Amino acid sequence: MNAETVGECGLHCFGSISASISHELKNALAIINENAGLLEDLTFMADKGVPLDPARLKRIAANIGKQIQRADGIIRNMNRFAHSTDAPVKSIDLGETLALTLALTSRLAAMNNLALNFIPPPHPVCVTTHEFYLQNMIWLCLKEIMERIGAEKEITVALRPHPEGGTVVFSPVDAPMGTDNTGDLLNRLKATQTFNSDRRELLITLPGDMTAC
Amino acid sequence: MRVLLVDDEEQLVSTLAERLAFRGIAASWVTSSMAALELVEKETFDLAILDVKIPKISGLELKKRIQTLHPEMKFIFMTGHGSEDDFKIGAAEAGKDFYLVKPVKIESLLEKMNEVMQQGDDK
Repeated sequence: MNAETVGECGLHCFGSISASISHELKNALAIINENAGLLEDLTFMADKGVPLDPARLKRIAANIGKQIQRADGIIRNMNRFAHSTDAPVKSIDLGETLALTLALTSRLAAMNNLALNFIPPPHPVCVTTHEFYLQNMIWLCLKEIMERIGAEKEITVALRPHPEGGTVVFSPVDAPMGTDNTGDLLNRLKATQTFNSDRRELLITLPGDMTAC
Repeated sequence: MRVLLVDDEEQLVSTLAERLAFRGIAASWVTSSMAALELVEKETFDLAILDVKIPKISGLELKKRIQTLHPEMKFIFMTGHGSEDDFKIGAAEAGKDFYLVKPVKIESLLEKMNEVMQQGDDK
């Protein structure tokens, strides 16, 4: 990854998401570790004459399998995220990138007692853009919204097709994004920000092809 | 010894409680700080084993709140911090409390539990 291209804000995003991934993996490993330990305990007791319960062993195996699936999903997401910096600009399925970014931000949301709800578009929305900058901006918007949110327990992110691109809609939001970093990322993505106070929505509109703007 | 386990990973605390029970240690578990605070109002524990990063109220904050009700209670923290530096930062934040990095070996946990229970009241 080129640090000059990504910038300080991008590195912060990359670092935060990587740290969150490592915590998630540690938790999956910790659960596998406890279940493996439980198997050892049961085997030890079986050696002492306590009969083994096959149903219990099945449950433990299922628990381990579940955590392996979880860890595999986390690593797949991490791999896709890491590859977002491969090409400066490329054609992407906006819905897929949004879903990935939300998955990567879900632990941060959970730590703030919030759930993230994604409303996909009725049909795929493809745009030519800088995928990492886009992920960085989505993450930054979510982080700012989480910091400001009141009693709500859920943040909804919807993707609406746009005649020449797509619009990402965040709600509930009570103010436009105000940091220099957001403005910088919007410029880099040739995107625009609109705030609708009546509907408590923040709309980020992306062009179909940022290289044509 | 009565132990309270708090971690938002239900599978982790429920399995750990089962393993502690095999060793003659009664452990109750909850998956949120709020549930932990409700439980300590009704029941008494000698030791709490807390995850550092619990949603909403962190493990360190939870410890402070529990201590207002039960100043005699002892604490061990479990963390998913990945690096040695993170571990040192966490340990510094926790002061004299005991810190263990996930995944935790049961032998290490039992050793820390014995150590913390033998500690004086100079928390």
